[in-house]
Amino acid sequence: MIVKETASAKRVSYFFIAIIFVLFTLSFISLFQAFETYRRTKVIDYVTVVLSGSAIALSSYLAIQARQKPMKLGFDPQKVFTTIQCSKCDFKNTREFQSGDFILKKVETCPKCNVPTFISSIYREAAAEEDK
Amino acid sequence: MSMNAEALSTAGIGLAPGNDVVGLILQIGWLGFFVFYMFYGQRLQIKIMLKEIESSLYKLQLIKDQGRTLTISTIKEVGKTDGDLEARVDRLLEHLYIPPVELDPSGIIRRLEHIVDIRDFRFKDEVKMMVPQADETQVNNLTNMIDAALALNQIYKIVKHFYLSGKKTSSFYIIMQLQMILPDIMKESEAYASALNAFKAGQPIGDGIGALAAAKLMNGNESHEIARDVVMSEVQIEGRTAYVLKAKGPGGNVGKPGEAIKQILEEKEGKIARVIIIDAAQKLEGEKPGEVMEGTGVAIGGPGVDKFKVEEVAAKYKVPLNVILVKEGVGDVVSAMRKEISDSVDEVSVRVRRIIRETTKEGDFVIIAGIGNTMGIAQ
Repeated sequence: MIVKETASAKRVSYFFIAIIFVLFTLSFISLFQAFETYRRTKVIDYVTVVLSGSAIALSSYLAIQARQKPMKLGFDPQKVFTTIQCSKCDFKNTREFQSGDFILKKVETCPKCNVPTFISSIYREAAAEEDK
Repeated sequence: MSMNAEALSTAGIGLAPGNDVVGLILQIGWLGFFVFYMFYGQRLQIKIMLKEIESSLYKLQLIKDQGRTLTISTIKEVGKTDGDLEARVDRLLEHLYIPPVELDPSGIIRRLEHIVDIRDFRFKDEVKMMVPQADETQVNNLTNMIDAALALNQIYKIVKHFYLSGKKTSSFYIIMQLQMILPDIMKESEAYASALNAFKAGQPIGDGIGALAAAKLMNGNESHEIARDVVMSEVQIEGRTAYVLKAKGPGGNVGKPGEAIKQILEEKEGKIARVIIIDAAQKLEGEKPGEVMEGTGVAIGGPGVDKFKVEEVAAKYKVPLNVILVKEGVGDVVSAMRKEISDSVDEVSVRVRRIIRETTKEGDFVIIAGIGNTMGIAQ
């Protein structure tokens, strides 16, 4: 049995959501104020518009981030490969790892020279994000 | 007035628009927030940090629980039983190891070795009791699985302890310290989670690079057990006789390489030109996994018993010690061996030969010890 990542690993912080909501509301009120000011005085208050716009953008970004992806627990099955090599000729074959494989295990005979081959390496290809 | 000057003079009037009631409320709101933050800023920070820790703790709990489930299901699968093993496994996962007293350091290594041995035997005996028909390889692999699940359980309990202590006392410093080391703890826990799948399948892990390098040198030569769970082959390399040793595989095993090296040195009365130890080492950020480095000393991990034995006997006979290290990240050590690490074995072999050629004479005797967990690597 291979343990799969569970969707139950999702969790939303209500505290965080409340902060985003407050920030979004305040920013929206500020933007509305800037609009009202413009209507009254016909002068654009760039600072308020930029600040409110940035705050709305930030709160939207945080809201998107709050939609948490399922947690990665590390139980993901990894792609592991087995390399079989002939001890006499240059025959080499790589296949997926099979249960019971181990390094230096004698396996099937070489298709070229008919002598037993052995497992020379077992490895996994690491995902690019592992090195980040 | 220019356009720019006009814009500057009106800057922020939207936020504080004179007699506007909404503007006044906003101003009071901001002022209130400032005062609140001045008095309760740290408490707010504590709350935020506790939330972050809580989320990590939740993840640790999931990892721990899945680790336990995977261990139990594997034992049942290997043992072909549906018996009630939960209680026995849970008891093992709560197993405590109490190190010897340090007040009187004399003989501490002997006492430490005794305790570590008892623990190892106990775990293997427990596995044999649960899976009586399991062969040596399966017993070793299952013992490794229990060890990893136990580590996950311990990590979870310790983090939970500090989280609750911090919450109870509202101590900024307890919470801050925990939060600071949490990324490393999470990385380690994920590595153990990944290790459980590798242990279950019996795949070579990153820590086994030393054993792999030794196995490649031993390949085609007769080997025999010279110390508990350590095998040795006599191999001719560059006209020298090399005693190549590694833990007995392919089951998950580290053996007692210190004892084996000590025995050879004592038997040969120190007539060994050089001891070369090959092991995995933790890489620093920025270093590539699979990078090979050389050094001097004894590179044997664990509680220190084997390291002590080699240092002691090498100093007694004045035998030079070389190490060849393969760099790998925390996550690589116990998970299935990465290609970069596996590929480094050729570079290790080249370096071993170079060190032998440069530092010993033909006809000399050398010891080459491949250290690490030999899971999935025979001899």
